[in-house]
Amino acid sequence: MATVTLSGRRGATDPLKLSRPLGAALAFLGLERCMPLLHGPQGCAAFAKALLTKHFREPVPLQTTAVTELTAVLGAAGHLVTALDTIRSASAPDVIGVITTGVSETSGEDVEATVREYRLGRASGPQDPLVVLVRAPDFIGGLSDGWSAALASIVAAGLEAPPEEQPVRSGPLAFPLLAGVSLAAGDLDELEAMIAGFGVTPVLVPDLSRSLDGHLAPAWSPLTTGGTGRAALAALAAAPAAASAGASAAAAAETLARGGVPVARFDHLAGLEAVDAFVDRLRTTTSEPVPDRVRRDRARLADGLLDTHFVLGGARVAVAAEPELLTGVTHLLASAGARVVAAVSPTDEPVLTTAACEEVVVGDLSDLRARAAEGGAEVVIGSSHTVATARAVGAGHLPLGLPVDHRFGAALNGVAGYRGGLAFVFRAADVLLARQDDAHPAPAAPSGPVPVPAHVTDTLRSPQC
Amino acid sequence: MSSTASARRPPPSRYDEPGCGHQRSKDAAARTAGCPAPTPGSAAGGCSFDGSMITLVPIADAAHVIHGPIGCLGNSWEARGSLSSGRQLNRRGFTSDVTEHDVVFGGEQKVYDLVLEVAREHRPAAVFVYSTCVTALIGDDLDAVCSAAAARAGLPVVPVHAPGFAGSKNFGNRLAGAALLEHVIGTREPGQAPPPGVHEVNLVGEYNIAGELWNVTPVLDRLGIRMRARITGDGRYGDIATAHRAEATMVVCSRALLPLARGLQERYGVPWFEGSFYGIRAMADALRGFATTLGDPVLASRVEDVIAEQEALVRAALEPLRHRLAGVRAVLYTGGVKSWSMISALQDVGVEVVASGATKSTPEDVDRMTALLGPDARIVRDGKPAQLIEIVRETGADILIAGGRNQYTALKSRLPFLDVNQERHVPLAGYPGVPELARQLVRALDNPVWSQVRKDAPWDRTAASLQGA
Repeated sequence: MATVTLSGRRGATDPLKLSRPLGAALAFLGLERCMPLLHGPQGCAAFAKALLTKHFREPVPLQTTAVTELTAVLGAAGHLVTALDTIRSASAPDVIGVITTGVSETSGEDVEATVREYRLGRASGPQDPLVVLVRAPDFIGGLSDGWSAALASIVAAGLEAPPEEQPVRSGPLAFPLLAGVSLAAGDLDELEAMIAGFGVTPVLVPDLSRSLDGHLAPAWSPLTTGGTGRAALAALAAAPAAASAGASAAAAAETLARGGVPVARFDHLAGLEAVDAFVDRLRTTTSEPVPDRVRRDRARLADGLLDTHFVLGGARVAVAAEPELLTGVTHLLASAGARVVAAVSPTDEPVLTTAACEEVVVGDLSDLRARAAEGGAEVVIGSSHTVATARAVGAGHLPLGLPVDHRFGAALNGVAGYRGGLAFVFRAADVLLARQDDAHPAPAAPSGPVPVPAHVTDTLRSPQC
Repeated sequence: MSSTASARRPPPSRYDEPGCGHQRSKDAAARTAGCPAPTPGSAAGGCSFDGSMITLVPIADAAHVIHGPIGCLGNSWEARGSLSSGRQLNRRGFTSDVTEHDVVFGGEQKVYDLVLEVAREHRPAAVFVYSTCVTALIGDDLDAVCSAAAARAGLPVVPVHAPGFAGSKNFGNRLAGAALLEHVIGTREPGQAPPPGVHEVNLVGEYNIAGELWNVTPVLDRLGIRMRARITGDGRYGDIATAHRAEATMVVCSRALLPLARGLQERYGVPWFEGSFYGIRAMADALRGFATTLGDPVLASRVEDVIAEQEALVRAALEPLRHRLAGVRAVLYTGGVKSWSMISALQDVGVEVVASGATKSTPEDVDRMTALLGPDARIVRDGKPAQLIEIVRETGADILIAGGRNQYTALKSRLPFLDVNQERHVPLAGYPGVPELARQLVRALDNPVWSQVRKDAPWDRTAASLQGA
């Protein structure tokens, strides 16, 4: 149980927070043949696209309505309609995610009316794309809020789908998993396999493991090359049971539950306890035995926690991440005895009170830097922006979250499930070991100055910035 | 209220540009059309705010404060590889992180407090404060905030008015240049005059990406040409404030900063010329440009010696790679001025450029491209990824040379790719950059990965793909 403290800073120094439209766009990128559309000036989309492209090392479909100074004042509904028409004629997507931004929300235009009229007038047939609207003012909340709102809208759009779109059910029953923002493609793979092991058909919503996992598709496409299909969305209402994994999927879980589907909710799926609860729920829901594969994976995680506890036990760790990811990671680390001396979240969420550390600060990376230094952190866990933090406090660095553009594998490496958790504790322990290797290099030649380890010189250099 | 007549007058001078091809057009409609507006749903590229950061954030000893909601800085910081040889305060990110409360009640007090806090905690040489769409829309008076904060903090606080919705990235570069001209240049005097025989110059539009500037300065040092102001790669606020005392300005690959160079000439009589540091011919032109603009015949003859010496070294370094690059065909897609300067560099290493992008280029840029490429070359106006791939296929090109945004387009199409824009990690400028460009090209082309990924898996192979393999 953690106390949540607000940093109290006005503004941010070295921001940790990413924008709400970015989170919304990311959720849409997990839908098949989709184009997210930011309703705002073109920079909003350009920044988001550049960040996602560098993180995933993938082409990222993302368009803009290109609102200008003039139309921000006089009304930009025309831009939105033109953009929808242009995207349809250029690439005929199955889904277009319309996402408002700080500008379209500040100017106060009635985007909902524009989208409603567009749907009725120009996109009402089964061949027309599903147009889903999400309100995402940049100045309220952050990435997780955008994801949460978009996912809830996506589920609502699926529930509203006309009956003729709902396919006739055949084969094993569908089991939707509403995925939170913190699940990497590797996590989704594992959760999918777990669900399938219980004799039901997993339906991931959204599914980044088929769109932004880094796969070489037969050819380049202007749209997402995989993800949750439109038909699968339309079939959501028919599922007998579902689950949500991540606090940022809770709003969508509520929407789906209102649609008559019972949803088991999980704030995160990191660490033995959380994954056990998830597996047990699958077991009781399906009345199937726990598959051998899942049992083996659990045994491996338990063994890995034992093996790494020599290194992780008592290790001082600083983490900065989105609320549900932060919470999950603290549990995973704490389960091997690591001490989280600094935990920083970009936004406040109820889930943070369940983090396995004393205090969570809602703040920025200057808060992380101050607390990590104070707590003597040995490893800093966070996005590429926290590399400078690690350097400044003389700690090792473990990439986690978004954006990670200075190392490979970010799109696959997660923390969830038995396998994800195992891989994560190995990575964390390895960073600590590497740091020890650096601190105790092989004996130098008898004469000459003692070499100064890299992290010490980095610390000396850091006051420059 | 002002009279209708004055309300109809053209907007203030930031929209007037004698050097602009559109404004000089003989066709009245084209003259008043302004910059081409992006098409909703089919647009790519950054905004004016992005452009203003590109131009100013390399000033390494200043603090850069973004007055806007989190998307403006949170999604964009630490994205560019502009390097500094000293202080790196510019790598920190400061933003007022505008909230709903600020949108309703105004964010002036908040950004004022933030500027003072940054000034106190980090002791920057100056603070640049950037407006963004939302703070421009709600009408925060950034000029008032900056002058009040400057008086209180006792250091320069410069307002930058380039909200994203003002226009393109290029326009933002320009507005940033205007901020330097209005608020920075001419506010200080240099400490001491250069020794005899040494000329002090400004570089405008060189951003020291991957340390490119340091590929050029050694040669300039040998010629007795040293930097008065680097605008802005590896830039220092104090140097830029004295840019008006330079003897010449070179504008490096930047149409958008021509007004800055012109302002330096009009206000302070500093002559300027345009050039590029990419490739053998461009380097020679640049060095000769300095000699001519500085009007120093002694320098001019030393320049010729240095050019001869450096070119001999470069040609020797290129020799082992020439054979491999002979006959290599490239499609180049990069912005504006960069297009022709990069064409010339590629030709210098023996690559044939079969098509070049011109989305952000002016008519003059296109003329220079055509002069280099010959009349048959394709000039690409529409840089949509699908179109680029199509052109590579049609022209039978071996490699796509473009910015990072198109990198994965190329990879997904199983095409070799070389990044020549702001996110690259290898310096390609100056004389050392020429063989480096050749090495990078060979590395990209000769990697065995291409033959592997172009083959289907055994179970997917059709007769056609087997023939192709």
